[in-house]
Amino acid sequence: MRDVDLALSDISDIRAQLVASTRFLGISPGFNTVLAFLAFAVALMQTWQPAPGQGDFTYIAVWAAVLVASFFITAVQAISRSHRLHGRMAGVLLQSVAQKILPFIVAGVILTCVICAYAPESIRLLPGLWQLLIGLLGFAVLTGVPRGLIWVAGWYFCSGILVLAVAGQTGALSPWMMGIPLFVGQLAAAHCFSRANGESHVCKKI
Amino acid sequence: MSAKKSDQAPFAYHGLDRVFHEKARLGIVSSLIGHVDGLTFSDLKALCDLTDGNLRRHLQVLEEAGYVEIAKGYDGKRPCTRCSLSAEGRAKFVDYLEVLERVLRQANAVREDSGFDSGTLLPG
Repeated sequence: MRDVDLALSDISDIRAQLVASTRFLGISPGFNTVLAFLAFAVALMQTWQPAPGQGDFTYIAVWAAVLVASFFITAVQAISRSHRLHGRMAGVLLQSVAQKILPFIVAGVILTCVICAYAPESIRLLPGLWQLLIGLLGFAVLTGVPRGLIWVAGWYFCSGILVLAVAGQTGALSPWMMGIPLFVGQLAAAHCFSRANGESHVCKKI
Repeated sequence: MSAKKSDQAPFAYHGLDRVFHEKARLGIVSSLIGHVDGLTFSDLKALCDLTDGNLRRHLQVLEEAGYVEIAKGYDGKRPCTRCSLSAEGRAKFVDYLEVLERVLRQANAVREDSGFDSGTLLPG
């Protein structure tokens, strides 16, 4: 290979390494706190004032709407925030994160549609399955996000299994099956992002 | 503004940041790239083959430019100085790489236009 091509290939490798080793800080801690309280408020509302004739489908529709809105708003604010924080690296970083996240979102949407359409008797398993997917999504992006998020991913994974077990045993859906995992998980995520943002600004002189 | 500047003088390379464009500092930054949690002062010293004084001086330049963050802590009971690339440093280094890439592509184009294409940049 010619020297110029070799040098260009080296630059390309360095750039790829730079992207792979950069922590994505595009998610706002404040926004995660808002999502946590939104989940808590929805669970509270469903407990106190259940919709008339509220069945499992209404329950699933409400929480699916909460999740879709959360993902959509998170994506919008992540795009604007990462351009501010990561400058010209924002585009590549967002692309890298999106490549890891999208398969889980698509899997979640297809799973929900298939269960609702063809296996409505198993609809009670959806909250647990959603949380498992969020947990796996968290593990998939670990290399590019603050390290503490491993505990958040672990929390969603464990709560997903617990919720699956409880839903399978009781045969009933409770608003807190989604409310508590999302409230705790998003607050913990907010804490991780807040710490990571603090660490990237605080340093001491030699 | 910057695009206009580079259109008027394509070989001026305004984006070739002098802070990075120095052998020792380029070595320091390249070593830090792959380590999201940073490297200790002694690791950097060994990786870049620099003396204590030299490394400290170059780190100071990088820190003053806001490209490197230096934190003092403890590794067990031993004091330990950890250096890492800041978010700004990463972004600026991407810009620097882009300009460096442009330099190489332009040099390559000039060589091909002049019909000289031995395959290497350096003689020998």
